[in-house]
Amino acid sequence: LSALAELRPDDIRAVSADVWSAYLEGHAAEDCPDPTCPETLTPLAAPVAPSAEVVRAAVDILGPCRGVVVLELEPATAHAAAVRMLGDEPAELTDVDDAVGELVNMVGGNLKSLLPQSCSLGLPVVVRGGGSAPEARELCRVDFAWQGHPLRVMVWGHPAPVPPEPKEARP
Amino acid sequence: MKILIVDDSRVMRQIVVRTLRQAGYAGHDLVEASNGREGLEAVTTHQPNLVLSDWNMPEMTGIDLLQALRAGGQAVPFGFVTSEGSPDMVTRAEQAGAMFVITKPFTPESFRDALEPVLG
Repeated sequence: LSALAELRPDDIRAVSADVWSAYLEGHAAEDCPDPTCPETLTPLAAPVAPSAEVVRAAVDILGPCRGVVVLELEPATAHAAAVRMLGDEPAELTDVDDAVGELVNMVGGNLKSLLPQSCSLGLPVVVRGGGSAPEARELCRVDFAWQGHPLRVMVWGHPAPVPPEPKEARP
Repeated sequence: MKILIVDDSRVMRQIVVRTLRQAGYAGHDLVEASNGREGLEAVTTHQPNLVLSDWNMPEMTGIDLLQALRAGGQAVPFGFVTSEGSPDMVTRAEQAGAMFVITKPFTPESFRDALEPVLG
């Protein structure tokens, strides 16, 4: 597997905390310094089963460290994130997809920067309803709570491409 | 002064506008474009004093936009606002003529530090 396998839960925690702190926690977290404040992105010790209607935002990491960074959250949480990122303005469905795409883009971009190899980032894709990624396997995951709702950030790795077997020389 | 903001995310353009205000640049005229191609047209149309551009965008990336501007003789000050902050990408940006790279997530302070030499 690629260098993505070197990423650790602490990397996901640190990068996600930076993003949430910049755009999603806001003054509400400052007014509520308790580490269990619902406005603070809080890592959970035990994984929480995802909602059936999960919103999944994913961004590909391309090049030698081939894989996917994935953010999964419930529709209401995704909507709350979009409203907060828009400065507490109403968010349409397209804004929600845009906002969660930007979140995974920032988390993915900053995780990519931790990798030893030079890789590039794809464009974020947002789907509703979940499903599994073909040929991908989970390398690392952190479950969080924000505003009392679960969300998770994962790194999926694609197996390195298998080189084609050499063709037998024709007689 | 006129600032062109190029990003395919409307939400991020809004955050950039808000951060410019928080950084003390509220009085400037702001123009938006949603990809590099639109950004190229907007530079011709609006003649901005500064371009703030994302890197990864559909249609035309930020680095392609910068290279197209410089190839066309446009010397407008240009900075990236991107989640791609790795050292090799910063080097690539600077070699193409970017004045700075602001990494997402950013703060009003990081905007002030980068924009002060351009906007004063």
